[in-house]
Amino acid sequence: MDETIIEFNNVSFTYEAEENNPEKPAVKNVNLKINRGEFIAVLGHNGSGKSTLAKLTNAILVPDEGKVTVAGMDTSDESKVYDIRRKVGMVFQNPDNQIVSTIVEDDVAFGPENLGIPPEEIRRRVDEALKCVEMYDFRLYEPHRLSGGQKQRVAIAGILAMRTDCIVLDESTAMLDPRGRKEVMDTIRRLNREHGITVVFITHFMDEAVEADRVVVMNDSRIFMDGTPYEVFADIKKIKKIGLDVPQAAELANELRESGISIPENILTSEECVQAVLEVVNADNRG
Amino acid sequence: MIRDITIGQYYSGSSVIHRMDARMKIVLTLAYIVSIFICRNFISLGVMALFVAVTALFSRVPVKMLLKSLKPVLIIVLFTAVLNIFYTTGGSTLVEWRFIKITSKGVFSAIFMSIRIIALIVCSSLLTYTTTPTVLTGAIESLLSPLKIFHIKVNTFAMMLTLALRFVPTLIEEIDRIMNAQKARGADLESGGLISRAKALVPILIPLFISSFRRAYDLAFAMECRCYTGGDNRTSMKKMKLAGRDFGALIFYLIMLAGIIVVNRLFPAVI
Amino acid sequence: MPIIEVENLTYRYGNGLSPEKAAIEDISLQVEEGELLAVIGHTGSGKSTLIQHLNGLLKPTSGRVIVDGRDIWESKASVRQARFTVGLCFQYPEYQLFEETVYKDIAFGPKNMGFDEEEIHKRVCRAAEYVGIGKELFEKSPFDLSGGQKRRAAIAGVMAMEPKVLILDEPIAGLDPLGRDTVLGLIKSYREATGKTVILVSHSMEDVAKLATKILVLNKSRLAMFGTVEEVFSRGDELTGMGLNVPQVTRIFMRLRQAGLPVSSGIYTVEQGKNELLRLMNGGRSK
Repeated sequence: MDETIIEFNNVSFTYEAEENNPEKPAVKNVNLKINRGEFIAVLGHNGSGKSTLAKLTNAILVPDEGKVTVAGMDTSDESKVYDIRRKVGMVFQNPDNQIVSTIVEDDVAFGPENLGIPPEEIRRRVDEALKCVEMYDFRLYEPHRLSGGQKQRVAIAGILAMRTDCIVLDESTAMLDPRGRKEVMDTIRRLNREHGITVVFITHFMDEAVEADRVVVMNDSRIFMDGTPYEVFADIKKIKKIGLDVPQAAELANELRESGISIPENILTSEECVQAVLEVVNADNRG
Repeated sequence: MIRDITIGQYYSGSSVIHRMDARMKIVLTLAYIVSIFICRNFISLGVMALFVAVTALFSRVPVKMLLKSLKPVLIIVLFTAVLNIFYTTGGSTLVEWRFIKITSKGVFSAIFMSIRIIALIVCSSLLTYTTTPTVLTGAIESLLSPLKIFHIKVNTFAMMLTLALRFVPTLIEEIDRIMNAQKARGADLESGGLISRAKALVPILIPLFISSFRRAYDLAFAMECRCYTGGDNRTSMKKMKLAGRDFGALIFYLIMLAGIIVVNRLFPAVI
Repeated sequence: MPIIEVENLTYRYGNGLSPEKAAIEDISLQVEEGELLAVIGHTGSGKSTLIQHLNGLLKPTSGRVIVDGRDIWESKASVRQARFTVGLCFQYPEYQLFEETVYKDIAFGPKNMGFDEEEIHKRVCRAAEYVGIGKELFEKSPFDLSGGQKRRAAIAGVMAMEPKVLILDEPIAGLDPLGRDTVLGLIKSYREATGKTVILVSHSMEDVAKLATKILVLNKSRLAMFGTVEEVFSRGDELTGMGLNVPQVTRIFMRLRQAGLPVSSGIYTVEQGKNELLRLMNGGRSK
């Protein structure tokens, strides 16, 4: 049976109105269950409410209406805040603004130190976490000498060292170059597969969402779509309507279908597209 | 220019000096700074200079790095030297031309002061070159911990210090970036009088402040997410421990100090 | 006559300790007036160093940069002139906004050029129009704008200098698909309206492919490729070897070619891909 780790129950949240900024709900009537070990991508463009959703998962924000529970704990219960943050760690967008120390390994130790863990145990966890994200060789580096992707991996290690069950990445790839994005994606996928860590990946990059087990599309403060990448990207028109991208493989297959070529549905990756095209061509040649 | 400042720059290594307890290094550095002002003649100053030179040798920090740390204070050294040459009188007169009068005592005191400042800078640079900023702040925290009885939040202070050091390189990069961006828009940062130069800083300082506030805000969030409460229950991965070499250094220093006091008494003072 | 000529440009830097490193090495190129040149390469390939030479922010270690027929390092005046002939808009330009109002911020460049109020006003209005910043926003504080608006206002600040060459460094970095399409769209209309030269720096090949007339690829401080979009994309294998992310549809066609299908190699949009496949399939049928 699937165990729910994070649950949103009819959650709404509105930021306080500022000057020139009328009050508008950032998240409206959201119901969402995230299971332990799941790799879920939350896709949407700026202002869709996806970052607010992320901040609601570990009690940075508390819902105005409805309830968010993490491993059975209500995020609005102030006495549970630090227990919740031990379960759900968060990696932010700007790699520079979340590293607190001048040496990589000291930064990874920051979380466990805050939890009051004994020094020998911290040392063990820090080494393990750095090896997990393949940054062990850089443990004595100063953060400003690392690339963006490496900095984000250090931030991930900092969360791992706290032994959290779930990592929420709040647009953590938005400021990275393609190489850095790939590094972070590969790391996260490995942590999910090999260590069973639940991943909530907030992004506006469609190609990253495709790699998740499940995609939740946010639009206009609400959940717009929720399903496997195949289910979500099958409806190209619906995705395009809200200004998001669709994998070119899916789009190409769709265009061909509309031009009367019989090509199967459920195409997302280049490999699937190549196979499908080759089948059509071979069938043509035989016929 | 900003890039020349070496305070807070660590030179990684594993020399004896690197491995010394940071608390001892801080105490000895402070003691050194005090004692260099006790020196009254070239013999005691020579001993002090030799001490710092030997320490530098042991630390295996390249001479180039040490010279680099002297670059920003070169002007201060020259300025002090010139002041001493012209304003200290006594001894035999070397040059006399109109209102300028250079005496042997002036030259001596100029050299003396220059060596003093250089030794002082080299010694404090050695401290930061051989000690990582985190360890340094940890040591300061530990040295200041007696203040806790006065309800002073020593660990918060140490955290602030760590963060400040952490963001120095980030802010330097940021200043560079903003300056280039405004230069590309035709901002003239190099010419004009004092007032127009000060005005030219506005397009750099405002974006810098705004981005610093944003960083501070982000950082506070990130720290809270990692369960930072600023409380006293924090532990530390790296425990500091005094070892034989630390006491050795202390004893060595004390012997030198005693020697200097004796030398000061036996030989005439230069200044 | 080319508007920009770069001859054997090399730039080395060092900190006085370790041997000097070359940020760019022996680069020669010519940019014709009215072209849209895309400069592609991943972080550390030398892109930023190259473009900072084009407006005299960096001085070459060796080689020459000739802008509008004049060596920019000829005299102090020619350097300053180069700043105005070649307008450079840095990455994340919204972080350089500083004035009290949007109008004043856009006017900063033209003001530094010494124009009178009337001319400044004309230029600000034109630039604001190119980027779609309405007059109603002129008196607002730039810090009250939305993220996308800030980016566009900052771009307008450089456009208002009306440079003969406009260089945009990663103008779409960090933007979501909607923001990205808006900025790419405004670059296109700016070119159509003014006919001026644009240089676009990016690590995303997919986005620039649609706009560029020519592509320059930098790899490890050297010029790796310089040619038309089709020419560059037909060398897809080399591009992926350099760690650049070619569009998915290009990858699909690379695999189809490997599988022995007689398809063209310079495919980089879904539209081209569809037409190519339809040509192939229908051709097969009529046989």
